[in-house]
Amino acid sequence: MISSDLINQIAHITGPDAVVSDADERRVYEADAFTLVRRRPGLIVLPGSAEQVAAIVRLCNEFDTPFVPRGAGTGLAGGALTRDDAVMISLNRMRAIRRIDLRNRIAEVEAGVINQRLTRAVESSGLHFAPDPSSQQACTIGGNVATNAGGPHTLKYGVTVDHVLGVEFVDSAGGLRRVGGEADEFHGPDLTGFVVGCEGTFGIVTAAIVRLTRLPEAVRTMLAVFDTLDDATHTVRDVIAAGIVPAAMEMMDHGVLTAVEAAYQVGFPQDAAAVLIIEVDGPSSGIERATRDVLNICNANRARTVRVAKDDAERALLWKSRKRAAGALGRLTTSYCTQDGVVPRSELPDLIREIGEVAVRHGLRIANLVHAGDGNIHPNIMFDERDPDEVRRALSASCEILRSCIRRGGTVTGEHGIGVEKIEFLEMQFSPAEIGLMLRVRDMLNPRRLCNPDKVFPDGKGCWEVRFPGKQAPV
Amino acid sequence: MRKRHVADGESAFVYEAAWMMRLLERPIVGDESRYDALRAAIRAGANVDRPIWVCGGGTLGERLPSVAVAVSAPALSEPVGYWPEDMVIRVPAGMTLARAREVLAARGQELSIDAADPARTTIGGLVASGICGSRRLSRGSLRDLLIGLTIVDARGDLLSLGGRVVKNVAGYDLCKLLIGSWGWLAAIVEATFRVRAKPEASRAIVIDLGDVRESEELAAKLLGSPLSPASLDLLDGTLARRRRVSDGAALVAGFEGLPENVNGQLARVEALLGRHGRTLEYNEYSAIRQDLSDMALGERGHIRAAVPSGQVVALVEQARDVAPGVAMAAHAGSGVVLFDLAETPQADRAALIRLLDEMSVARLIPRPVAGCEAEPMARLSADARWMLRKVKNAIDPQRVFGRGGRFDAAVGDDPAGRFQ
Repeated sequence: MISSDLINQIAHITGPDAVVSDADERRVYEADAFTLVRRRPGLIVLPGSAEQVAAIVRLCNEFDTPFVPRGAGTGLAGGALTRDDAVMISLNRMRAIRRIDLRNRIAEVEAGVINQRLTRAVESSGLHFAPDPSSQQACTIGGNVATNAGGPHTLKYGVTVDHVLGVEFVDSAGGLRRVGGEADEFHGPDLTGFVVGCEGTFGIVTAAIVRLTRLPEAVRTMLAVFDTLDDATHTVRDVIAAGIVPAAMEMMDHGVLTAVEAAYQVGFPQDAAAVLIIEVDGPSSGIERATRDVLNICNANRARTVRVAKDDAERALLWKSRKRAAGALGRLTTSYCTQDGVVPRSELPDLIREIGEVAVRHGLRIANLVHAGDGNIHPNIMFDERDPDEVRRALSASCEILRSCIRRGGTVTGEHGIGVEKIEFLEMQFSPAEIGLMLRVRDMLNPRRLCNPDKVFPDGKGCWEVRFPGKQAPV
Repeated sequence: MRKRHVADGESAFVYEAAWMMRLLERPIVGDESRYDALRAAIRAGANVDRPIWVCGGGTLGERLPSVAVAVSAPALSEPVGYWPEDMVIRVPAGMTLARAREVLAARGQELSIDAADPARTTIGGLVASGICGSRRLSRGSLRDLLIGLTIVDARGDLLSLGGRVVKNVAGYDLCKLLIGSWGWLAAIVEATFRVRAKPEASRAIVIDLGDVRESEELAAKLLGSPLSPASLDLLDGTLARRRRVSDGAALVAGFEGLPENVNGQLARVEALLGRHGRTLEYNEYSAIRQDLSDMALGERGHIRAAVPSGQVVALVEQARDVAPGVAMAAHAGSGVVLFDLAETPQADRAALIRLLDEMSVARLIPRPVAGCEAEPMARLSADARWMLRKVKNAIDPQRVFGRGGRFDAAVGDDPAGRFQ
């Protein structure tokens, strides 16, 4: 599908070892962590520099060929899916940490740097890169920037955009651009903030200047066990309403904690309705009071038990159980669909109750993982993909939950992005005029629509056949 | 400039351009149509090819071109929505910051933004200017706190951007483009913010400095420590004396939160820095933050320069060399240097601008004073100008908002029509 002339010219830019054209080798790239739509790219190229990316994009324009950026392929909404007439530009070879400036607490990193590697590079200096998606061992900074990734600790520390000061990107015509810089303050519209989260729909992020955050002096991680979901969600509501800002507040319901216990033996009681992992951090002075306040709220909401992790090892085990919880669900089902909705935090008790009703109504099991402090739910709808009726019910349940999020004043995605998976939901959340405004911006910056075509917006929805929602990856 | 009410006193008003009154003098009935007058004015202005100027509280003393039609969001005094249990508030753009604070304080909450003259500063003006004061170090800037906007675009359409939840990645976050846009893209009519619980304790410590240069090491120590100051401000001798903070230059480190936390950190500052300090209670600490924000006020004039936080002292020192008459302060933890132009000789102002140009330092001059033209954004890179032109062409292709103004000039004016 890709002209041999274009392949040769790209190989001339990058060297032939950076070009994947063999049909079998291309199969590796036919999906990201959203596995239910698969398309084999026409060509994969792994450039080693921003200049090479720019040159490839210019060539694609010359040959009227679409192109799609890809990070580590951990995206959960199909944002890196590529048609067979398109060139996939994988940024995995761009792994340089160009500069670490400890004095100003910033780093300039290429798009292919793995999230956790950046933290490893600076933690001996008492710093870290705060966004911590559960895939942080594999996902890249470029992917984090493209999707405005979150993670458990965004409750206190904010999502990716709050940590990006500047971006370098290749525009849709192949120009290498830089917006933002090293200073916290910017004047004029926040172009950097706008680029973050645009899912590569008008350019390819090749590097970012990110803020590094000081590691907290003291951390207390608590595990609270509840006999009812209501008690757990009311605890979340009360902690927020009390003005406490925990570093993280994560909820796992019975379905999830059963799977997690089987996998990791954390000590979760198998008859509990839900557990909360609540972490407070900061300077050592005051940490005991914050911990005590949280414990009191848990107890006031009838927590069966609440315990504070006694050491780093226990804390690490709790977080391991949370970050690998979605994977553990594989013990319970052959397939599951993980959704990503957000509601105002006060709506969480009612929404969780409604999800239970949806499960009963559709005869399905739904296990909930929740970034509870943010109101960000990840209901995991379990189904057997060999049973068409169950697949249909899973899809209906998924839609009902997301519609409920919108009805309650929330959104259909808090951290995964729209990609190809949720294109239709965008129309439920925004008016035609509001989507029209976004499209005018996209078309102005990507007038030929060669850059990551048919993603995010409704004008591309016909290009992807999403038969049923689902993925199996960390959330 | 005349002020005329469109309908009743609480609804909408416009400045200048009497010929527009005919188009605007219509009754405003109920909440459903509270933005009708504004939408009509924008459509009308666009139809007759007059540029629209969006005005806030006039805090910065904006001068409007005579051909412009000035519009303002209705001066409403109640929030559009307030969900205290979610720590989220939606307020009309025409509400003053002081009123928003009042509403939030009644529920023990606050919008953690320090801004000039809260009794006049409107929420719309706050977002449109993008200016934040001392506590952005710990509480974040508008970028971090703003989660949704309602705007009227150049077609007169009422559009919602973002939402009312704290995490949201559905579609483009166009709110980001409105922050700091000074009414150049659309008129903001409502803004939704995440808010915080009002801290139980709020105190600061003043460290006297023999010279501004000393603050470099002290600030680095503090910011590199486990302590988490809410603000870290540097005042040179002139400003410190004027504000009766100190007899010479001073570093003011503020802390907020639980009393145990605040007191514990204050106690550690002296040991960490090896200096004795003087503690400021809530009122004094608030007054200093307000003073620094008020440097932006209309009659005084100031320049904001943005650098990485580690370069603040170097900039201050170089500025002092070329413009010894200029008084300076800095949000040292956030890399914002404020040059007070109130009593600065004109020659020093010019020298200062030259220095900032030579150093390629981003600066903002909210309003013109003698020797300094107003600059909503200076030292824009070619790439930023390129992108802003694209954004402008997409959102306001007829160039209805702010045509011919300073923003157009900064981006690269093309009076003939679209930006190229």
